[in-house]
Amino acid sequence: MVTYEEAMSEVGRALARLLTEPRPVTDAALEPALAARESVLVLLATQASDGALGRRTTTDTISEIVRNPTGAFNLLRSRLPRLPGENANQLLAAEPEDHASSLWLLAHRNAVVANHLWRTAEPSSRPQGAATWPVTADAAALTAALTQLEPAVTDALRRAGRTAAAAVLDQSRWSGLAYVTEVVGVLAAAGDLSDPAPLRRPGTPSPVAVRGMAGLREGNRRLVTHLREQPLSPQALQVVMSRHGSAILTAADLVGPGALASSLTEHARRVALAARRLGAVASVEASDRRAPLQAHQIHAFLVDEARGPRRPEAGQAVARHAPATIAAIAERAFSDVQTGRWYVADGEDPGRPMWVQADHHDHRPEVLDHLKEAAEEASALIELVEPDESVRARVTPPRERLEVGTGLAARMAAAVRPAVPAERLAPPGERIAERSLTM
Amino acid sequence: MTETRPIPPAAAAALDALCAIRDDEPDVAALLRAGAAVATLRATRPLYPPTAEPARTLDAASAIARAQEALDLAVLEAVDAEEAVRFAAARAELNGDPVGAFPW
Repeated sequence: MVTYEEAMSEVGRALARLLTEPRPVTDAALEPALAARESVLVLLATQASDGALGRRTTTDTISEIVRNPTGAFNLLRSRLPRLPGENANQLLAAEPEDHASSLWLLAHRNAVVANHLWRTAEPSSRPQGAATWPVTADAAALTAALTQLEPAVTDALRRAGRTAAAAVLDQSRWSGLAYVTEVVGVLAAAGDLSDPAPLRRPGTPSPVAVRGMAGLREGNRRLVTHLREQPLSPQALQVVMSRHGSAILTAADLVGPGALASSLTEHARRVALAARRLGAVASVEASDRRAPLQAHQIHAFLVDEARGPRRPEAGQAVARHAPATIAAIAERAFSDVQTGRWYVADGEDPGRPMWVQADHHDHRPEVLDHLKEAAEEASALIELVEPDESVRARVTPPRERLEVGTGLAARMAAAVRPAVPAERLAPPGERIAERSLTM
Repeated sequence: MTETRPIPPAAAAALDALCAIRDDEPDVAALLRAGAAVATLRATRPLYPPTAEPARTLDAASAIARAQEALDLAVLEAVDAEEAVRFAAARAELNGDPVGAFPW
């Protein structure tokens, strides 16, 4: 359930804490450090190959560094010596031996997760154009942190007798990457760095096991997604509604007596009355099983909550999602009738009723009106529910945890950030001319 | 024409009882359990034929008691494993022990 943003934030947090450690790479932390360094470099290489870190270049001349800092940044970073270490995969599940190891392992695991989430996201949801500046700033921040930690890695390699690897790392310190990373960081910070839109997952998600408040929020979101995206038989929808109604009743119990509990109970009644109308509808089409499973998970968690911790916020979370859930249920029913998937009883011969295709005219299922009414009434719940503070909380991206180029920023005060990281910087003469034109 | 199969008498008795719960039943939880049980009983291929619109006059407690009794008999009289499992799952729904992964 970790998002790309959360994983990146954790990488930044781990590296920031390592930068404050007196001994960031102990002997025990050497392999975790090499694994983390490698997984961060792989992550940045993935983003660069997707065009999220500006242009690429093949020359590392001084003029290229000056006019095309993101290109030089990508080139020099890709030339860093790769020391993947041993057992990087096993380290994903290893117990840390000391504090420094635990921080490197945190960075390693989250960089692997961030890379996976980036690669498997819908390509169209990845930032493009000007929206890649925050991604570029994150990349600069992570690279700067790795560069600053490299001397400690080199020392640990020497202590371990791996002098050849240490020498290679020492050499790379003079490549100019540290300087160009600062330049990219300063340039990025010269303009808007608001968070890009979250990455979207392709396809319909699987149901999530609900074991806590985070799972409950995610489960409610996924239930709405399942209902919106996948067809259901009337029986499956009836079960979803029964579970949803029971969850709402339990939520009313958890939030305690008051206006919200009364409204939730009334809403549960509407859901129950609408659900029983589905007994008069049938289908022979295949039905997706994700929504019933997800609704069951949510209901089972709330039943346990009512027996145990009885946290009112669990009830609040269900109440908060109830309007979206019933709206999605109504949408599903309308859509399945629209597409001719459902049947209703043909009332022409009461002695021998038969199933005929439902529609929005003569064979309109009664449940549709009940669902429409329930969805309209549910919107009033929003006014009674407390706002979800956890949604407002924002994870801190690496660019805000790891300051890059603070010393350089003053000297580069005249830097004008190009529209996109891939653009070359204008020579100083042109920049002055542009500015005087706009004055 | 959609193919249907006859409803076994004991299952029909359970369905009749559950569909006859009155709409103003004060026990909403019982209404919801009855709904899940009806969905489970009807989750079969070929479909059961549609049933006539019932008079909704029973209170939930007596309807559920009647349905439980009918389902106990239905499980015993089931002609195959699919029927027996479905009737038992519906019985569990009525008891408030919902089945997580029944193929509705």
